[in-house]
Amino acid sequence: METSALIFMATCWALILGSVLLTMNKIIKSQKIGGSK
Amino acid sequence: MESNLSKNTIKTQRENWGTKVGLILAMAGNAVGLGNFWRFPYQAAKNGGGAFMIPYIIALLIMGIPIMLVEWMQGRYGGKYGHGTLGYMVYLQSREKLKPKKAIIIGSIIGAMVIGVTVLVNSYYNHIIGWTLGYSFLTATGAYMDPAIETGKFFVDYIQNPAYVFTFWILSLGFLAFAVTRGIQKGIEAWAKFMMPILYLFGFILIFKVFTLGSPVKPDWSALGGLSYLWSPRWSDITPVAALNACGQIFFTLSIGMGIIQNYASYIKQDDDIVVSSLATISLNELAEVILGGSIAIPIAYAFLGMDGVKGGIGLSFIALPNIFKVMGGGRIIGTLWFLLLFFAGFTSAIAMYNYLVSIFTEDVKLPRKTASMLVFGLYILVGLPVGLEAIIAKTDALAYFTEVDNWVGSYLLVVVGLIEIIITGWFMKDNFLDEVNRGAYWKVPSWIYNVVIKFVTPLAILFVLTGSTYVYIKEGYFKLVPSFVEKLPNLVPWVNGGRIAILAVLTIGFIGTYRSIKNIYGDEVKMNKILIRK
Repeated sequence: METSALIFMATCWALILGSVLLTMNKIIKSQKIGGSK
Repeated sequence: MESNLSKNTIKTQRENWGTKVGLILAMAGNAVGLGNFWRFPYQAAKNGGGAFMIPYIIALLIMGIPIMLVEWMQGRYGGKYGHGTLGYMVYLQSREKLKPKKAIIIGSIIGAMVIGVTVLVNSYYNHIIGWTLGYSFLTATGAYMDPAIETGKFFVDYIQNPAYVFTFWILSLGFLAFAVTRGIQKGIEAWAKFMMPILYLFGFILIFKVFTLGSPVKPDWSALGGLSYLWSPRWSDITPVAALNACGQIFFTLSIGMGIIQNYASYIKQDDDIVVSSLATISLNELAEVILGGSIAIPIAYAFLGMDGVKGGIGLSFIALPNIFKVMGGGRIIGTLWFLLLFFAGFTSAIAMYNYLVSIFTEDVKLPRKTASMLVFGLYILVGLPVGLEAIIAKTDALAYFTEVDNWVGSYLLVVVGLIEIIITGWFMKDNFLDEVNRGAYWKVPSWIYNVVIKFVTPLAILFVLTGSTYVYIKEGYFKLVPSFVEKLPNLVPWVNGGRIAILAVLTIGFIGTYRSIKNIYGDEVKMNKILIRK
């Protein structure tokens, strides 16, 4: 796999996974989404 | 006047989402659909792999995220007044600046378009879901595993076989009707909580399998080679058509421009955090599309078939991959998981479109949910029959009715709806977008997103897409009385015309129905051309 492809893929994957973790963390802690359960 | 107003104002108690996990999984299910696993790989492959991913990411940033924020805001705004459908929402958003007499026209136009999308996209979308269910069954039972069976012919035989087509289509519709009839918490939320974790689990199992394949056919064909093709950032290969397709993919994959994000968002509470919810929906969708969707079909096709297999187009999922399942170890199990994953992805999006139409019947016509659900079932049978019958009667695999409806409704109308939504929100909404979207939000949307992106960048980007698409459509002969794709197939021309009649009929009925519904509740406002109902 070319280095430029690896860097492009790793950056996009890291951004997506980071966003998922960050938003899920906020949702778990938040009392203001879809009820409080 | 007072009694008339209170009579007309919606007082009905609307259902809310039961849990935050349920809401987010339902929203993710709404956005994650066939677009992620079926459409994305072939679009990416067809448009140059890495050359597609660059405009795709730009389109996600300048169109996907702003429109998703706008749609969540519109949904919660409409929900405050007891509405779950877009015609009312746009009427309420624009009535102060445009005045009710003009706002009802804009509301009715966009209401009609969304009815067009949710009715007509499902004329073929539900069939594809049926195909995925049918292929799950046929893969599990090994129906095409005989080396003598050619998978291209097997697929054509499938869509020309009424027993297969109608059994799995009606079964899928039955599951949908059952889920939606049970309501928001017991139906949609419960099914999303069951299906979405399984979908992600199947996705990760498939990725593990794909990347432990090695090079089964030729030493230089491997799953990593497929990933390399998808992710090599070839700036010089970016074409206007690839950019257009990337923008179209963003609309399709995020389910924006369809009214269904607003519909789900209308069931949230008024101080719920819609910024985090919007971003979570996008993140989960991109996880399913870019990481899972991009790491299954293309790498597996590259490992077994090389570059020719990757560029298999629409047939990648139903023709190229079954060829691979036939020869790979554990192919029946892997193939079944693949088609079930497609089924779950399609199903959780179809529920949202189904519920949109049920909302129209329950909220506008005041029908009980069960009756409304049965009516939508009947409607889907009616509009889906031509898609199922065309291949069987005309003995074709060209599917002209499907192509015509998809060209105009599935690819074009969504973008027009997105453009109207963003213009109304950016320019004709009196209540400040930032105050509305930031209410209850942990992360506040900065003012430049509204003043620069929503007002200028996103509408201009959508206009670029629409202009480009129109040019491509003219060039490819879609505007001709007999479109180029059926010029050599005269027996399919009536099917194309049937598709056109269906589009016109649904849009006309949608416009009249939306106009009457808005007038029924806000008739006094429209008559006096001033705002009387506020919440």
